[in-house]
Amino acid sequence: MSFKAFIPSSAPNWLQGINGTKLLEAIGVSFDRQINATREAVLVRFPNLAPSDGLPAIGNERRLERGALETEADYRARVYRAWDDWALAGGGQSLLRVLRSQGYPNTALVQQNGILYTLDGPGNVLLSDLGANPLLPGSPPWWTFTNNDLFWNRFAVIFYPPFPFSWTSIVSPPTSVSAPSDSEIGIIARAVTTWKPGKALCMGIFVLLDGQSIGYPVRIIGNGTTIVPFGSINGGAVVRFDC
Amino acid sequence: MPTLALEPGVNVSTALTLAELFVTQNEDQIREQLLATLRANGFPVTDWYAGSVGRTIVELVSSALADAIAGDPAQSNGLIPQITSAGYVDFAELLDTDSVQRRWLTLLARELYKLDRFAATRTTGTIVLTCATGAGPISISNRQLTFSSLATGNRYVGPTEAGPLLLPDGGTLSFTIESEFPNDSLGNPPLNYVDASGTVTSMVTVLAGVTANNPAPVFSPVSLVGIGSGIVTPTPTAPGAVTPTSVAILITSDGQQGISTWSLSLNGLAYVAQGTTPVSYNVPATNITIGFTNGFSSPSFRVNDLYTFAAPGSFVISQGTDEETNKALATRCRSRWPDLSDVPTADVYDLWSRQATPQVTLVKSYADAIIPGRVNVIVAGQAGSLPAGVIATVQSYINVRQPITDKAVVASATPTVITLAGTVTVSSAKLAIAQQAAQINVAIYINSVGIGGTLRVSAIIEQIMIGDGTIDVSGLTINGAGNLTLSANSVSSFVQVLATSLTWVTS
Repeated sequence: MSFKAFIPSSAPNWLQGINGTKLLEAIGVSFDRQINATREAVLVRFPNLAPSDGLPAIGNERRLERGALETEADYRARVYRAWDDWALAGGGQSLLRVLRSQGYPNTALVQQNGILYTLDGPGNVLLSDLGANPLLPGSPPWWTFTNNDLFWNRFAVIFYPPFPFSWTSIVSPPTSVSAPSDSEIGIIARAVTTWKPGKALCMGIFVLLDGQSIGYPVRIIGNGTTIVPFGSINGGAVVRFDC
Repeated sequence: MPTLALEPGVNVSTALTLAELFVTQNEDQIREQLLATLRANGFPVTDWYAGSVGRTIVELVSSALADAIAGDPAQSNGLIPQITSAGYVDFAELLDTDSVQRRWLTLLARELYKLDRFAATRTTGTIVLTCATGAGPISISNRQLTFSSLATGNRYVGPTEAGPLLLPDGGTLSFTIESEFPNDSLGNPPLNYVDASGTVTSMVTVLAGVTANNPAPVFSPVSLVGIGSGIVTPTPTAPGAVTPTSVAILITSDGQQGISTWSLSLNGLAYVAQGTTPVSYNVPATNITIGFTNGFSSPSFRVNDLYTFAAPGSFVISQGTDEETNKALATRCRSRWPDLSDVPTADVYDLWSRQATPQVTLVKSYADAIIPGRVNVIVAGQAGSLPAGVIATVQSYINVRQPITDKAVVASATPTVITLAGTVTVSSAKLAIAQQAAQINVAIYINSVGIGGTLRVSAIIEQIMIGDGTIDVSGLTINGAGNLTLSANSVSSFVQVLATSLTWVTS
C-alpha cells in the first residue's frame, strides 16, 4: 500500500473529510516519492533494471565494454550473461559472441595451427580444420602469417562482408572521421585483447574488403574466390588493424 | 523504462535515471514538491503565512523527510545517492566521503568478490653493523635497535630475526630491519619509506663502538626479457661511485657477441643504436661498463632481447606499500570476472600478480612475439621496480596456476627516474600547504601512470594547481623536456622533493 493511501486511511475520523484526505494524500505522495527513490536506488544495481546511464557502470565492473554498434538491449543482455560468458573466456566462441553482440556478426577467427572458428545462427561455435599449405609440401595444416610454422599460438580476427552499414570508409590506421573510426576500432581491439588467452598472439584484425580470403590454402571466409597470399595484398583488398 | 518479469504477473521496473538518483534533495526541494501537490489538490498554499497550521505541517513533513531519507544537507551525499553508489564498485568510494568513513568498497570487495583490501606494509632491508675492536662482542636481541636515515629521517627497527644475534668484536653483522611504521605516503605527515643505500646510518639506539650502514650492491640484478642466453654484466669502469642510472639494452639483431647489434636507453630516454655488441662498453659520464658474453646457445643474443639493470642496486628486500587504494582494489574486483575462466587472459595474469603480493601495484602482461606460449608479465611497485625476491614470489604464485603450454615469465619493470623542473607561483601565506599538496597529488598521478604509459605536462600542472594557494605553474618540464612516454617495460620512479627542487615564487 502506498503512503498516499495509507496515511488518510489511518487518520482519525475528523481528519478524513475532503480537505483532510487531500492534505494527507499530498503528504503521502511526498513519502512515496522518497520511498520509491530509495527502492530504485537498490534496484538500479541490477543489469536488467539499471537505467541507461547506469548500465555502463555495471558493464565496466564486469569488464564488458559496450560496442560502438551494440544496442542497449544486446549490451544489457551481455552484462546479465557475464557469469556464463566469462567462464568461457579465452575460447573462440566467447570472443566471437562478444563481437557479434557488439554488432559484427560476420566475423571469424583463424589460428596458425590450422583451426577456423565461426558461429552458427544461435551462437554456437563451429570449428573447421584448415588444409595443408600447398606451397609447403609436408607442412601441417596452418594459416599463413609468416613462413614460421612453429608459432602455434598466433591467431587473427577476420571481418568479412557484408559489413555494418556504417562502415563506409575503411582505412588503416583509422581516424576520427573514418568509418569505422579509431574509437570503434579501439573498442574492437580491446575486446580482442581482453577475451583472448594471455599467451595467444593476435596478428591483426583483418577486414576482407572484397570477400577474398587470405593465407594458404583455400579458405573462403566471405563470398570471394580469389586466393592471394597474405602480405602481398596488405593495403589493397585487405585492411589490417592492430589488435 | 527497464522492466524485469520476476514471475508471471509480477514485474519490477525502474523509472529514475542514475543522474537523478545521485542528486540529493534538500528540505527546500522536498517542500516545493509537497506544496505543488497541495496546490494541485486545491489548497491556497500561497496564502499560508509562516506559523500557520498548513505551513507548519508542510515544514515538519519536509524536514522529517529530508533528515530521514533524502539526505543530511551537511553531508555531501544523501541517503539515496549513497544507497545508489553502494551497488557499484565504480561508485562505492563515493561513500567514503561521509563522516563515518565506512569503507564501503572494502565491504563490497570482501562480500561480493572475496577480496580483502591489502593493508599497508613495511619496508624491509639489510643493514650492516660494524664493531670497533675492543667494543664487542655484543649480543643483539629481536627489535632491540632503532636506526634512522640522515636524509629522510625515516626510522627502522631491527633485527627482525628471532635472535639473539652476536656482533663479533672487530667484526660485522648483517641482519634485517623493517620500517618503524607501515608505509603511508599520503598521510600527514607522509610516511614514505623509500631510502637510498648508505643513508640509514644513524643509530637511534646507541651501541658504543658500533656503526651502522645500509650498503647496497653497486648494481641491481640484470633482468632479461627475451629468449637469448647471452650474458650482460655491469661493472664500474673505474674505482669510485657510479652515476645513478637505469639502463636498458635492446638487442636489435641476432648473433653472437660481436655479431649481434644493440641499442641503449638510459633513464627511460629513447634508444640509441650502438652497432655490434662489444666485449665491453663504457657508458659515457656514468662510470658504468657493460660487458657482453656469449651464453650456451647460438646465437646467444636474439632480436628483441631486453636487458635491464639499475645503478645503484638497493638495500631493500621488500618495499613498503600504502594501504591498497580504491582504484587498485576496484581493479582486482573487476579482474575476478575473467578469473571465472579456466583459460588465463591478460586480466587473470594481472590479478594473479597482484594476489601474489601487495607489493605489486602495476602489471602489464603480453604474449611474447618470439617464443610461442610465453607470456611476459611485467610488474612494478609503489617505488617503481621490485626486488628479486618479490619477482620470485610472483613467479611462484603464477607457476602453480598457469595451464600447461603457458610459460609466464615475470620481470620487474625498469625504473625511469622522473625529475620535474619549473616555477610555481603561490600565495605567500599558503606556501607550505601548496607544497605539501603538490607533493602528494603529483606523486599520486605519476604512480598511477602505468608501465609504458605517458606522463603529461598538463596533467602534472593540473595536480600542482589543486593545492590551495597555488596561482600559476610555468616552464614545467619532465626530465628536461615535455611529455614523456616510458619505454614499453618501464615504470616511473618518483622520489623527488618538490618543495626544494621546483622554483617556488610567492606573491
